[in-house]
Amino acid sequence: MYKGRIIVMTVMLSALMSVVAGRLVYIQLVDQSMLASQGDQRTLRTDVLPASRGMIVDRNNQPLAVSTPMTTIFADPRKVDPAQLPALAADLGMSPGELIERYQRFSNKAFMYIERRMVPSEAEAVLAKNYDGIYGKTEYQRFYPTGEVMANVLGFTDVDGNGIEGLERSYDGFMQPELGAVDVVKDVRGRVIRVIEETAAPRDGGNLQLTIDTQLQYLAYRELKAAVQARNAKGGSVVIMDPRTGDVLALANQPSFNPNDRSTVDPNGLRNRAVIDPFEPGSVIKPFTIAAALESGQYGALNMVDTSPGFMRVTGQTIRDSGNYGEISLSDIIRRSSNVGASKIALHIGAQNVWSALWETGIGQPLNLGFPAETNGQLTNRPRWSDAQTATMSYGYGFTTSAVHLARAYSALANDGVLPPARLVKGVQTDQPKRVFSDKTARDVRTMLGAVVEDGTGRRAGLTLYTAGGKTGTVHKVGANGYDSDRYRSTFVGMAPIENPEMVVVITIDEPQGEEYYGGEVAAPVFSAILNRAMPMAGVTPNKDQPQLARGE
Amino acid sequence: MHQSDFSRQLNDRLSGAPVVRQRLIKVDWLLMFLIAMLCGYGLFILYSASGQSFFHVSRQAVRMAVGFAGILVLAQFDPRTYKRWGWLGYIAGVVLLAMVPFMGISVNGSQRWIELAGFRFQPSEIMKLGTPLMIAAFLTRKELPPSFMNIFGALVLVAIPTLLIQQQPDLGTSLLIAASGIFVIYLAGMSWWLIAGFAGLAAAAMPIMWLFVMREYQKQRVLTLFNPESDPLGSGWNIIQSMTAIGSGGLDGKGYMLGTQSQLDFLPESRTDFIFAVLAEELGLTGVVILMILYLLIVLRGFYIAVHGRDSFGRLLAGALTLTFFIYVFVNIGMVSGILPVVGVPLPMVSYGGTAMVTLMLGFGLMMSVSNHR
Repeated sequence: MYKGRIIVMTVMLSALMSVVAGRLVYIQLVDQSMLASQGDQRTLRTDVLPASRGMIVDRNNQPLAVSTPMTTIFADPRKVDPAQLPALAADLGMSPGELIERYQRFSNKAFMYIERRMVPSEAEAVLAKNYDGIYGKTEYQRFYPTGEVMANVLGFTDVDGNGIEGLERSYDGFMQPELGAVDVVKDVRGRVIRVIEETAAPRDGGNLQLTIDTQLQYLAYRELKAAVQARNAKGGSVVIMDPRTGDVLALANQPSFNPNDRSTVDPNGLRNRAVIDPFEPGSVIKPFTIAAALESGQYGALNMVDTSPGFMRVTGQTIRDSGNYGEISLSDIIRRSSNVGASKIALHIGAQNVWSALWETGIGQPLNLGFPAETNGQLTNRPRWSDAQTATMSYGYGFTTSAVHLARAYSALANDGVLPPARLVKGVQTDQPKRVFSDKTARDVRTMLGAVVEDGTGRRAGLTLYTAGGKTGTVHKVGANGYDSDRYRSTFVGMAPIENPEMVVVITIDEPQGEEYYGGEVAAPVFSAILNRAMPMAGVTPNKDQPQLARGE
Repeated sequence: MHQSDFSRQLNDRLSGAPVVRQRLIKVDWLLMFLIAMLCGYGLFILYSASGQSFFHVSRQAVRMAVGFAGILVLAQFDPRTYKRWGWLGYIAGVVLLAMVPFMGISVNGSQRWIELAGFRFQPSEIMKLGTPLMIAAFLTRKELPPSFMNIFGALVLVAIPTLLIQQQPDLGTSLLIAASGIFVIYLAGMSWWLIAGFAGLAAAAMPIMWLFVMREYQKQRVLTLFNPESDPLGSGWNIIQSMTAIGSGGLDGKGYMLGTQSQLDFLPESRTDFIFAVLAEELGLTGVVILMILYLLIVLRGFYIAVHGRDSFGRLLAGALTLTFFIYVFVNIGMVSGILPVVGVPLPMVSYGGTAMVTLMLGFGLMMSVSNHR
């Protein structure tokens, strides 16, 4: 009887136990992979291994944009202990109320930033206190050592390290780092317990080397800024180019901004005017009209052109010079900047020749510097040119171009007739240099440019130790009703030493205010100020006779 | 040594029966060996479950030593001693239980502990042994099978501690104690008709229990059982984490001390009530089967002792204690593997914790007493 009861009970309990055993077998063997992966989901995490965005450096490897590792403090609000927040806020120098309010907004989320990109030592001090649910990770802070000096060329990145302006934008893919990944086991509090394996190695982004020379850039920017401020101008640009290689050595714009503190950025400061703003070049084009004339064989450097009485009428339009220069040489047309002289030559050799001379030197064509939104300018060829169109083209109206285009075109004159490709980024594929004028044409025009500085409209561009040449330009800006009589762009394009130029410089000042507004008055002194220092800095041997030194010998 | 024991041996000797050598200590060595194996296995698991805490393992080992001492002491007495004095334990237990609401200590929202003479313990532990002792003694006063009135009386004796413990509230323990008493009544020979009647009554009582007796948190645990995902971060957390741990163990486990669920603190109560999940995760089904075999052998040995008991008191006591032990194992593993609600029942001899284990071992001592005096 009793034994029977034990057996009955044993059977019943065995049945119960079988249910448990069956359950266990089911969980452990049948359901196993699902539950195991759930377990892995809880503990296996992929952590990001940070890598740094590539640097931007100048031609001498001076840093222009660098990424510094900083520590970002973030939280998993679900694991945060709200009672610790005031202490955390105090550590971070935040308002506790604001932090708690932010926490409450995120309280059912898994992630919120507490403070991004702190100085690592300061962040470590906070993290060492082991607040619940508060973690740190490395993020890089982009820093621009040259500040406003190159701001609108370099551009900048957004808070997540993506380039959104300037070269940072156009070369974003090249400079983007490849983040690494590592599989780790984390415990319930999110601490890394064990590293399983690195599934992707972090790789820093590529370093972008520019053709810029930081020292020249500083110099150019400083003088440009001084001039723009002194003239109370709307803006301005300076481009310095090595005429033999087409390397852009300096590219400065005003206004600019501080890329390291973008809380107050004037949108005007964002524009890399020298590259993206097209403008009517004006008289600085005349040397190419002269070059076209020389190339045509119809003119020699000593030929005379009658410009009297100082104006001429072409298809109902009056072209004026500043005075009646009478019968003058080609050189004097450049030296005194005679619109009538340039027009007469252009009408004589034909529009197509002038247009070709400009087109061949790259005016109206893409520069391919690698900057976003580069302008080509606009230089259209016409099947039929009216005399007025031909004449205005000869002295730089009726088409547009950019400061860098001008620097490149002048480089052809500086480089004995060979046009270099313009280059801002080292290592990119560029076009081959191309001969556009004969050696003699280029030298003849350079001599004329020398006369402009020696004894013409560009006297204020003269250098103390070096010969120089250049051409002034003063353009009436286009307003609502055609050309405005009181808004100008003052330009000077020059080179030095004139016999064998090391540098071509374009200076353009937009809307200078005050009595002086001619290119020779506003822009030429900037040329002088920059190159008086830049030439010795570049190690160029002085080539101008020095009366004092001569006496000393 | 008990008087009658001595005289029996004397009689054996005088009557020329085979001489049984006088043993210095009376122990059921097979049961002792199985318990020791289980204890060793338990410490082995605990070492990993506690995060390689030598502190916890050594404390647990000390408690086990205390338990073994208790087994040895209890095993020496004749079961008739327990039959005569068992009621004292029951009465003392009931009195202490009645005192809990007035001088008990609250832990986690329920009052279960009492402090007496600087010693903190749960009076319900006393009842785990006191109840089966009392019922067995009560029923074996008279002839078996028991009369209807005696069954009723026994049921009242079971109900008193059960209800007192349920009030604390501690549903799991109260049900286990009720079970230990009812097992005695069942083994005593309660008629099958009555059993069927009570089973029906219990089924009918369930909705009433649900509506009027069970506390909110108890209901919550039952609901969680059916759908742990309904509150994965709250009441479902334990069961989801433990099922994940068990499931991810597979056939041979993740390796000793390498369970991610348990070692990385996802699994709650991994040292105590949920230690089975640690075992299942780290040692897999293999480790689980070894544990189950140990339990099974202990239960079989318990039944063997029960069946071969000298008198009906010993048989009833040993049988009921064995069944209760079995139920402990079933409830704990059932709860951890998600087929029973989460009630605070430790895994016998493996979960970290003193009183429950010592009580169990004292139960083994009583069984050995029965075994030694057959």
